[in-house]
Amino acid sequence: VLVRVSLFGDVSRHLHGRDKDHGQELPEGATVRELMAALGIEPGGEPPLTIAVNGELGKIDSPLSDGDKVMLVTPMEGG
Amino acid sequence: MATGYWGRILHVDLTSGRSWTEEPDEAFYRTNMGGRAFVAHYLLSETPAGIDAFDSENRLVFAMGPLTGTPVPGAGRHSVGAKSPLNNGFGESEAGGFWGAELKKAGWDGIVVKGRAERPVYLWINDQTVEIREAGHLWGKLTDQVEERIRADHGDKWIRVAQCGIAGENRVRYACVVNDLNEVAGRTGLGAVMGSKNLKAIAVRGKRMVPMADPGAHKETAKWVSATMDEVHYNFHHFGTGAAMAGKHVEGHLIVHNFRDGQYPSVEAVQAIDAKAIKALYSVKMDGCYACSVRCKKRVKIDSEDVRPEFGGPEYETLGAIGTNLGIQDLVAICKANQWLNLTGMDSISFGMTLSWAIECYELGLLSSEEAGGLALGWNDGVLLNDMVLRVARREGLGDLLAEGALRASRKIGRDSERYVVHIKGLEMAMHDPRAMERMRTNYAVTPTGGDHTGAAHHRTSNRNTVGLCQFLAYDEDRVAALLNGATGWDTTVGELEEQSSRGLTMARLFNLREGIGARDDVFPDRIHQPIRLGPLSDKVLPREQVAQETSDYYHSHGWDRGEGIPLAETIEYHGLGQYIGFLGDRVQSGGGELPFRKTAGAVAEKVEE
Repeated sequence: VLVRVSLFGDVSRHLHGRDKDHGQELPEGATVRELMAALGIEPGGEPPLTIAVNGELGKIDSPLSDGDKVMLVTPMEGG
Repeated sequence: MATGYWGRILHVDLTSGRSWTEEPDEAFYRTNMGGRAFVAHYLLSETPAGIDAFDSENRLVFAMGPLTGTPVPGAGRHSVGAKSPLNNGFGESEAGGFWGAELKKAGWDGIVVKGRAERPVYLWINDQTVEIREAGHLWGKLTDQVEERIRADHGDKWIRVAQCGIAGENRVRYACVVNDLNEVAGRTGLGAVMGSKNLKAIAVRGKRMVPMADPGAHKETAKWVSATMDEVHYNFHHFGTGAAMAGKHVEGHLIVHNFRDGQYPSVEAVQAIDAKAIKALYSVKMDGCYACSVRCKKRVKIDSEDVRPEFGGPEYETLGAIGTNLGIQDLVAICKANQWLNLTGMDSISFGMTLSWAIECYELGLLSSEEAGGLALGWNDGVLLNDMVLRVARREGLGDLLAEGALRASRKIGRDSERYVVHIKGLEMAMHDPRAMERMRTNYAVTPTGGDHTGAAHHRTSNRNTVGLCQFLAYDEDRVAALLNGATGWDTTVGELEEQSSRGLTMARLFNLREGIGARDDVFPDRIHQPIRLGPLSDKVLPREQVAQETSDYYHSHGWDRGEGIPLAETIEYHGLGQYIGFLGDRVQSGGGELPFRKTAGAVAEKVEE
């Protein structure tokens, strides 16, 4: 499956400037966990990433389908 | 005398036109290093209890920390403080940029201003030379005109200027002290205090290096920040603040419509006004504060609206307060309003939150069309937003009401409108929803300034307030202590720094208690105990009992009594605060010898005396 990925906050360093609407190929039946592994993002970091699939709150085990839009966001405070 | 300081604090009496130098001993600095404690010392010891914030006896304090102006990323920070015109309580705000470092390089650790000049003046500090100069020609001018004129008059483009803006002149109760045109000591109305003193600006030129005991930690840290930029500070370096707003929307705690909602019409609508959108569309470069390689400040340029890079660009708090909070989906309107807030000198958070209160009240019929000056108030109106910036700064029409801040404005119009004010202690709440964010929940209610996000409840943020260091640098506390010791030559441990931060919070608490602000004010407003209307958190309620328990635990952690939050006798003795507590009389209780905040073997003041 091919998913579209956007990264926000510190996690965006994993795609170094290609972090908006990046296309990522994943095997059939993949979840957000496999997507993170493919991007080199370790699960369980602090603060926990916010996950969205097609604009809705998702989880690390959310299944992904072809064409899904995935957002991973490092929460931030202040500014 | 320790290095990192000059041992010189400038005092200015604008009523008499005199200035003089105080030369405190090392014990003073070790216990009033910077930030809250420094400000609170002068407010507690020099201002009479019960005065109005605009009384000439109020003090306006500029507090440099021991790290301010030292050569390391994050050291471009200073604090400004006074009795706040929003609530007549403890007012303080931190700012970045270059002004604080310049003042330190001029050989001063701080400035304490009292009195009121008969006519507008500005202070000109050229290294050790201090002059009070006539400022009639600067009064009524926008911040860029003031900075340009002062630099031209002295023939020096490197002069750094802090100023009150026309909002401060007009005593808008949330006016800022603006420095370097794009940095502000934004919260608690300090610009209005400056304006009430007829002090238009403080212009500074300093040409010496801050003395350092051992620059090793600074050099190593500066190298580490540069070498690890893409691992450690990637986001700040490339996008600054405001890049994570889509996450707040998805989780349902984006600040929307006066803390009522929690989500935007769509995640794409959020992405259209976040930091990434600014970077892609309007940012011409990233810029930094003094000595900082992270350079997290976006500079925006939009020729069609005369939006210029020297005024910076909207940070997260601004994107929230005058963006999502007002339902604005027009990024150009937000960037333009951000510039005009800096041109006139107003806090974007309090301004945005006061306007959102007015819009909600108008919708509910609690604010009449007549009171609104014939304006139709509504969400997602970028024209109204920009119109209101000038109306408030000039106190014209509805702007005069909104210049009072949301709480005072609600008490003027009555009609139950106070239920819709989202504030703590009269300070409008910053752009973090305590219903969703635990760190903010345990912070907001107890922060001495009120609805302020800069964090009284956590050691990390308080330590940085104390030493004069940016909250965004990813330094651990050991590194902060090493930098402090490199500057001062002290042997301060992390534990001692935390004790001193706690001492500063206790001093700010004493000031509030003296002014009649106490436990009944350490609460959230009604709205925060109601569910967020839209999104995944719409079935969650924050119970009042939970906040009360957490607040009581916080009091205890600082050595205050659990019920009223009055510092206990042991705490006052340990911190050496006896000189400030006469007003408490027999309200001081014993805590049975317990000192929950204690991290070191002995009180620091005694250590210095030995």
